[in-house]
Amino acid sequence: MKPTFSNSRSGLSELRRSHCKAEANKLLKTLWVEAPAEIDLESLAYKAGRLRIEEGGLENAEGRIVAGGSGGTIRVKPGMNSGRRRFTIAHEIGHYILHPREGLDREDSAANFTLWNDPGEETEANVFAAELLMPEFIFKPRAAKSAPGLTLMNRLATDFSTSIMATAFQYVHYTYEQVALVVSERGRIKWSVRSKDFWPLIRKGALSSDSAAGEIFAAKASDTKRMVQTPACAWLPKFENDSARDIKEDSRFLEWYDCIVTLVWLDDDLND
Amino acid sequence: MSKDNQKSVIALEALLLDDSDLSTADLRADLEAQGVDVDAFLNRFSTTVKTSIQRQAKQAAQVARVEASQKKSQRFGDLLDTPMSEMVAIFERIRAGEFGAGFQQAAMARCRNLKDSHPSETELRSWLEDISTMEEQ
Repeated sequence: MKPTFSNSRSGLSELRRSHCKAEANKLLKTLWVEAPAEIDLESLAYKAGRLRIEEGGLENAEGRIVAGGSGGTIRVKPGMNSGRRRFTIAHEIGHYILHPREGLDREDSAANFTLWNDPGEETEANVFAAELLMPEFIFKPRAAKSAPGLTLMNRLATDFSTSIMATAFQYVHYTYEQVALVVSERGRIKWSVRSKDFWPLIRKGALSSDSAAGEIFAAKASDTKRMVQTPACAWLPKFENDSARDIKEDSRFLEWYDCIVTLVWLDDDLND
Repeated sequence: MSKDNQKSVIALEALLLDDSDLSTADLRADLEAQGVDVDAFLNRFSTTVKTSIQRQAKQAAQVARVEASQKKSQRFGDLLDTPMSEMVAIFERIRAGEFGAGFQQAAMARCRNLKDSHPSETELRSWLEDISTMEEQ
């Protein structure tokens, strides 16, 4: 069973998701990529369709692709950190490969990169980008080496030169742990994605003041910096009337996205 | 080439030239019987090919980048000094097909974006630069 989306909007179908991932892997194979250090985007962009990468010339978008059958240019806004820059480039390569009829000139804003569970081309390009930068066959074995947490996300993000958001999303998709990634903005849960074994639904709406994320939003606490105990009722509506159950969470404020990212972990079986 | 590698290559060459119908297992057994560490040899071979493929792609991308930067100033002139009004005029000519169907298609696509937001002078300039580096179709 693949990850499910707790958002009411329907996610990308598994068929499309598989297609996006397959296309990313096909491109990686052309360069015999076997390690994170070999994921060279300049070479991959060239292989994808004689695309070259330029920095600058953008003010209202993070990335843009102007391309035709004989090649083209991917532009990225200057000043982005390496992880976001790489994801933007991979995202635009994804548009070029997955959406050729629409891909002649396309601009992408910051919002496109956080609307992970919106259906449509932006989501497809995100799935492609995540797989291109963190392919399953390299990512999964590394992700299985440590317990879930944002520290592990940091390490993986460093290995793969990716952003923590993209890394956490990919992690939840591939891990066998019961974890959920929750993104909150201005005190409200914006979206969440659960791993295949995370069975309870994640709450919607306002963040619970009992959660660490709620405390970060209320400026009562700083980032947790590790997995901490938190009442299950703070995140899981099913346990609303059960204050005795605890689960774990690791929450951090991400300035660039202006949001709080949380990894919720069921390290014990809540069915007991 | 080290003596071990030379030995491997000679043994491999001999096998490749042999027109008998050997299975993969037979080939491996035959090579191993001649003292070849097949796995190590295949790993070395794979690494060599991979490195070469990746290096070639990197070089090709770099050459394309240089070629593109040379084309940039040729097609529409020096865009750095071109005022917004002139750039809009160039854009209109592209859209009208004066520079070929490939560019026209890109210009039409750009039009779709214009419905939502007008590009800034910087963005229009970079867009024209990007168009100018495309091959005519």
